[in-house]
Amino acid sequence: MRPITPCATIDEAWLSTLETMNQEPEGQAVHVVTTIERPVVPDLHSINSDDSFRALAEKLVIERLPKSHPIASVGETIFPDSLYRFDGPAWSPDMEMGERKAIEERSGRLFAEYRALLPLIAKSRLNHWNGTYFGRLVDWKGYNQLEYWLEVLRKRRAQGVTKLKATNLAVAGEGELGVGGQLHASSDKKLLGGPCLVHLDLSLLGGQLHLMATYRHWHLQQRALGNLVGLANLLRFVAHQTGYPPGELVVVSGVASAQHDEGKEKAISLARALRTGLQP
Amino acid sequence: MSATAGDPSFGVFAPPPLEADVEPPPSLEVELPDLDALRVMTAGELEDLLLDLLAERAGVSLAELLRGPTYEGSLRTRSILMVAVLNQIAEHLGVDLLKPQDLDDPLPWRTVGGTAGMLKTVLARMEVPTK
Repeated sequence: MRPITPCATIDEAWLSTLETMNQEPEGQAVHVVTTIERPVVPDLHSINSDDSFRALAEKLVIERLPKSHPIASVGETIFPDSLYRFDGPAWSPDMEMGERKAIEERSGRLFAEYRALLPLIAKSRLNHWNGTYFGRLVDWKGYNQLEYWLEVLRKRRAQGVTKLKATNLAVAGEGELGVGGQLHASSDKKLLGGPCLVHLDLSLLGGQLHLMATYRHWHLQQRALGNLVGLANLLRFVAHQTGYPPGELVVVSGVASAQHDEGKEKAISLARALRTGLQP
Repeated sequence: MSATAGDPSFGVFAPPPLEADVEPPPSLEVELPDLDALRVMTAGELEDLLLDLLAERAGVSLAELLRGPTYEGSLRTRSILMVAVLNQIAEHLGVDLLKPQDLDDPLPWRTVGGTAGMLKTVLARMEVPTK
């Protein structure tokens, strides 16, 4: 196992993971754990990643590996943040019913709009496995996993406020609450290729929402930064829809790869250039 | 890992995020043309229409929207967003505007100008309804 030292930001966590894998034989290792302590800023206005860093990372990756997709495009396969408005307050049980419903309807509109796009996306030649991660979250053979999470968490949020005030004993209860989303069918026999993200686990502990993602194979140059952006936006969305503050984000990868098969020097020079870019 | 260690409320009582520090959304409601009117619009006019729809969705003014990054003179955008906007137009018209193969090349969808070109193409290939 290779635990990467926990980092505050998405950018630092991704770069640290890439640098660590660059030190490994063949640029890869098993059971790599990447932790971002604050993937979302507390007011939910943004994820904890610098726009100029991502722009530089995207430019450098595409220079080295021209078939790479933009970071935002990779991220939007996990959560399409361009289709959702984060402005306004987060859902709260203390709001007027009408205000709560208005926020809940935003998620309903997002789900409906995305489900309407799925037949187009799934049949495009650009899509190699007939779907997207977010598509599997909101329409797994007709079942909307994400909608279920939101309902569970909103109820818990409403109950938790009262119980914590009265007894201060709900911490254990919160710890027991674990919900997750399955992204990979148990009958899937593919050895490699999408979907690489196979499971999401959303846990509530200490009054905060924490997200853990399991990848079977994590491509650090072409995918991982976009993956982290998408995961952080998913956590931000659930926080906005339930009123729970966002906690940490952890990625566990079966194999994390710096993609030295694409050229070891490319991966090393990428990390070096971006480390310089991260310096204050 | 809890950022609220020592807080007896465990964060549950934390106030919800504050209102976004932006101007209130303009009361912009874009009127979508009918199919005949769309067909005769130039790519530039279609681009302006798409920009209005994007501003409406984002709840910002057109000037604010146009502060975003550009590529080859056109506003950069997200492909899924532009596909959703064209689907919005298709729903308004009551037609199937897009086919899956329209998404095979992601490049046009990454700018508003490129998407306007796609819209012009898909409108042109639609059969003219017989009256």
